[in-house]
Amino acid sequence: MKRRIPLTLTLVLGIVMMIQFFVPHQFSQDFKNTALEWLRVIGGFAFIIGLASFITHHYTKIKHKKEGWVYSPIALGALVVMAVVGLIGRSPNMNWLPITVQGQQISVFTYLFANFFTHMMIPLGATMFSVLAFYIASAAYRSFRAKSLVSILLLVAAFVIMLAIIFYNVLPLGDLGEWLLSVPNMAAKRGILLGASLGAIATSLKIILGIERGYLGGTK
Amino acid sequence: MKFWERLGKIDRRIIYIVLAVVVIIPLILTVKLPGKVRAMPRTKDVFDHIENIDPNGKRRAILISVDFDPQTEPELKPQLEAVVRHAFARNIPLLVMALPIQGTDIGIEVFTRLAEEHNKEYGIDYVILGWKPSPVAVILGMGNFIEQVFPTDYLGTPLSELPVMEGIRNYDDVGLVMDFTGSSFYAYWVYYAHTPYDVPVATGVTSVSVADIYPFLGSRQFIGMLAGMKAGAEYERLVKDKYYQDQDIFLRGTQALPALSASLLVIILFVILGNISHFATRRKS
Amino acid sequence: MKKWVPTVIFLAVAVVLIVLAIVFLPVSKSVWVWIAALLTLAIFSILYRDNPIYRIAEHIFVGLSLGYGLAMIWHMALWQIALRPLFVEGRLILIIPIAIGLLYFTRLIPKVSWLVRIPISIALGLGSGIAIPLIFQATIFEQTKASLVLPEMFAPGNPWPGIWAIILLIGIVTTLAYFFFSRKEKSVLSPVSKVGIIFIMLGFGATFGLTVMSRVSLLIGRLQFLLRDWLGIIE
Repeated sequence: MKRRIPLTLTLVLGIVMMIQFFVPHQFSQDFKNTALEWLRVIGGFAFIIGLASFITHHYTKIKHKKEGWVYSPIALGALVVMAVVGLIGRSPNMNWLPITVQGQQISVFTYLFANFFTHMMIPLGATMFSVLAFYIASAAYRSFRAKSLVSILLLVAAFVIMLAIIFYNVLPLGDLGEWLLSVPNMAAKRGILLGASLGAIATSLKIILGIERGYLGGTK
Repeated sequence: MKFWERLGKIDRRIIYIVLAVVVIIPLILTVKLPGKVRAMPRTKDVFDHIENIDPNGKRRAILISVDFDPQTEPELKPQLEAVVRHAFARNIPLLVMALPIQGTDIGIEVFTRLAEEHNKEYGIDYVILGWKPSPVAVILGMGNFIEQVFPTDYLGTPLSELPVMEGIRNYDDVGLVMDFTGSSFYAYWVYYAHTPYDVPVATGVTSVSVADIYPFLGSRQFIGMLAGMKAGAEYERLVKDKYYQDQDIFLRGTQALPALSASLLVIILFVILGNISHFATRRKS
Repeated sequence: MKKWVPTVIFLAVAVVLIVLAIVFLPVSKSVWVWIAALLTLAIFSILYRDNPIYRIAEHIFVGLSLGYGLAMIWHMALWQIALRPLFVEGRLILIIPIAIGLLYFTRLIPKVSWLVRIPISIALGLGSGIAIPLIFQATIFEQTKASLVLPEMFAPGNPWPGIWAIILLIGIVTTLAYFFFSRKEKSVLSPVSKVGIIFIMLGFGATFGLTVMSRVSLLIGRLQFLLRDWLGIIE
């Protein structure tokens, strides 16, 4: 029962939507638009799983004083502050505790929310990924060896692309890079795309037909 | 032979310092690359398509989807800013949305700044629709009726009250969907916007995704593509040369190009050094 | 040497450099830019080694991201398309999807946590059913169509588009052959698969070169911020 209902829902809805694709009748289109609207509404509640996991994880860490537990209150604190500031600050026509910024009156919550995003979230997120530049340089130096035909091809293609970017204004190299991307690369990527798409379609069909049941979770 | 061996074992922190120095110096010295910045054909395709949009015709709006988060902002922001300036110069109405939540505020920050620079008004020249859950349902839903997906803008103002939305119902009124993404959202726009509704789609991506997008370019499912920071710089130049010759605009991508070239050269050198060391020590053993 | 000594030396040097920067350079006067710059440097500190400053910054980022998501989901999803249409506009039919969405909360109640499978299975069923025909058309159908070699490609004065189209087709077929027909038992790949590997390696090499460019661009962007917006060294 606890598995039958979800599996049946997936089967019925999946088949109905596949059939709907081929039916141009107005009822079919209205059904699709309603289904899409309901999907968006339901999707808005899905965050609760991620949020609950996060809070549970850090709460457990603090409770049992696991390694690195001193940082968990910081994460939870940042979550609460940003959530409160955002919930209040982005409300329509919000003017609690107004302050003057560049000649305009805005709520302090709105001001803080915008600045927390622009001057804290963006720098933190952008810098985390930019550190990868150092890692990729170090990794390329350490492990990119021309040991076999296969790795030589890889190396040559990578060099051609990088040199084409550097010397793009010098005609032949830029066009060589463009050719490399438009012919051999496109051939390989198209082959991979075709294969991967067949795989994705097969997996979706398996989910609809109930052969693939991983999404139900491990328990009864 | 100890020298050749050590050549292959340089401490990683030295590599980090060399890379940082090689990037910082061209930025500080504001080196300018020789010759004109030549645009890649895919970049030019996007530019030409926007040039051909009639701001008063049927397919007059551009739907911009800010589908990236702070992690890839340095590479995609120059592209976004350049395209927005282009649309502003041509008075094309802009609808701004996001598929990942954080794209909303990235869009808000960029548009608030650029609108002030170019004297554009919110609600008249552009609107920020915001974010809604379930990307597939959002993209497909807009093919039927945009206001059913976004009844209000991101702050709660009904779309029917905003002049910019007048006469814009769905993709039939959109001349281009321009998606900026650091992940695979570009595929969503091909599958769920272009395929069922035949709306022209172009994408600005980080360089990582460029090679994977070529199949879609070859099949004309994308009308064009902006490939990373380099394309951002090229687009900036195209727009500035045509519309803003006398204005002082910060060209973020163009400023970065010499540093990009220098750092790629250094990484190529490091790989060559590593290989020299490998072959020299291998011959010895 | 005690463990904290390198950190203290590093912090002392950093403070001295910052004081010098303030005195000699046109640094930004905005406290927000300074916060952004210090957080940027905190993350960069991981390059030396894992340290408390990096961990604090990392945890701030994770907390802020979730808090941001929570606030935005409330405003733009729960309120604007669910609760407001229901309570303010009176669209009672929305009670059904809202009730289904509320079932996500049963994940927190162990006794009825199996109910969380209902909204998941609805989303998956609808999503898969919608996706299959469209993905089939957009990938299998369109991509195969674009791979065809047509007579028009061999124009009298310019046969090259046709030649490249043939090479493209060979590449696509051999790539697929490599993935579908390579067997683990056979130590020797068929010649067709070997040709496929050449194309695949060229493709991956191109991806690698572009990935290097991508990561370096991200670094340049951050350094542009530090040098321009914070320290005012460049225009």
